[in-house]
Amino acid sequence: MQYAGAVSRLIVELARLPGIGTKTAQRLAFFLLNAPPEVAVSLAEAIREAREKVRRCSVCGDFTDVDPCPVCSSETRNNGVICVVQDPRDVAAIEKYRGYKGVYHVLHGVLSPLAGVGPQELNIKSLLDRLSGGAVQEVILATNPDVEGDATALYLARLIKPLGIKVTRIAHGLPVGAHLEYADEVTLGRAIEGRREIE
Amino acid sequence: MKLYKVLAVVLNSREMRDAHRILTLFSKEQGKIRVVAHGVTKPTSRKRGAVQPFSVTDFLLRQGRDMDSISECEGREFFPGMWADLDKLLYAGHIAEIVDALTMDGNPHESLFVHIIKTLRELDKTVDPELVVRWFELRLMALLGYLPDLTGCVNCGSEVNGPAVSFSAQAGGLVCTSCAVGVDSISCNMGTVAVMQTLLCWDIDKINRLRVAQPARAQMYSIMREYLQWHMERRSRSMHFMDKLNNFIPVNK
Repeated sequence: MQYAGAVSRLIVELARLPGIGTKTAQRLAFFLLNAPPEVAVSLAEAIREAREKVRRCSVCGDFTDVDPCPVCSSETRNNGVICVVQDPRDVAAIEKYRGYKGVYHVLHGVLSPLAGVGPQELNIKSLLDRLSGGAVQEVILATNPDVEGDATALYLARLIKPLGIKVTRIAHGLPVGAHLEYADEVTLGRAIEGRREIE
Repeated sequence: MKLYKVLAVVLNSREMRDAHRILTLFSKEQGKIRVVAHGVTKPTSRKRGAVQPFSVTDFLLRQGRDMDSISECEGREFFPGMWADLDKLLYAGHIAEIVDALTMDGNPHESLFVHIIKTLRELDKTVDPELVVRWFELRLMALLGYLPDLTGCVNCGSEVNGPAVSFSAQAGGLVCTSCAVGVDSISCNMGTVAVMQTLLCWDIDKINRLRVAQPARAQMYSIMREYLQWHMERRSRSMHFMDKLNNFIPVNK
C-alpha cells in the first residue's frame, strides 16, 4: 500500500535501523503519528542531541559526551589495567559488575577475514600508543569467545607481549547458576582447562 | 515436518537477527548446505558449542519452507589446538572460504568431506600449518577436477626444464618459455614445482618430514593464490586478510 510522501519517508528511514523490517517500521511510524506530538518531537530531539554531542573518547574510544570520558578522567580508576572490549556496549556490561576498577579500550569491532575487517579498521594503534607510555601493567582481552573474538585476542597478545606487559584473557566457562549436564562440550572443555585452585 | 540427519563440518557462521545464526555446512550426505541455528548466541543455548566454525557435528535438521533449521546437534570434534593459535585459526578460515567458494549447494562429495576433516585434524596438531594448507589446496583442486599440470608445458606439451619456469593460472599449469610470452604467469624455480609435486603424492601424515625453504614457500603461496582466485573468480578474502595482518605497522613511525 502506498502512503503519503512524509509517511512513506518515515517508514523508509525507520526500516534502515537494525532488526526493523518494513512491517515493524510501519507499526512504529503509525505509533508516532497517533501519539501526542511531543512524543515524536522528543524522540527527534534526543536523536539529534545524541548525534551532535556524542563522540569517541580520545583516550579509550568509548562513546561519550565529554572528552575524555568519565572513566578515563576518573582519579579513582586504576590506569595500570586496561580492559580491551570490542564494542561500547561491552563497557556498559562490565560496568554493571561494579568490581572492575581499571580502565577500558574499545576496538569498535573485531578482526574478520570474511567481512574484510583488518587491524587498520580497528582502534588498535591508539591502544599501542597508550601502552608505549610504560604506565600499564596489565591488558585484559575481553573480546567475545568466538572465532573472530579469539583471533583478535590472539593477534593483540602477539602485538602486546613483546612490550613486556602482562596480557590476560577473560575466563571461559559455565554461567553462574548453570547445571553441568546442560552445558555444551566446548564450554565444559574450556571450563576444565581454565580451572583454578580453591584458596 | 520432516527431520533428517547429517554429519557435517561447520564452514561459516553469520549473524541473523538477534540470537540466530545462518551456518554454512559441508556435510557428508548432502554436500554444502545452509541452515538456520535458532537462538545459538544465547548463553543458555545447548547447541552453541557444536555450531562453532570448524566443528565436526552430528546434526538433526528440520526441513523448512525457505531454509532448513537445526533441531538437535551434538559435536564430535572441536580442534582446540586451532583455537589457541592465530595462524591456525586464519588458515582454517581460509580452508572454509575456498571450500565454500568452489563447491555448489547440495552436491555431495564424500572424498572432499573426508579431505576437509583430515586437514583440520592435522592443522590442530601440526607445527607447520602453512604446508598443511598448501597440501589441502593442491589436493582440493585435484578432487574438484582443477589439478594444475606440473609435468610439462600445459599449452604445447613440451618438456619444461631449467632452473626457472613459469606457472600460468589461466592456462592451468606450467608454461614453457615460448608459450609464456603474452600470458599472465608467475616465475618460479623447478625446486618449488618439485615440492608441489611431492605434496600431491604424499599423504598428510608424511608432510611433517618435508623441509621447505622460505623462498619456495613464498612462490607456492603466490602460485596457489593466483590459481585459487582464478577458479573462485574473485579475490580470496582470507589471503588478502593475512597480507593485511602481515603488512600492518602497529606503531606510528
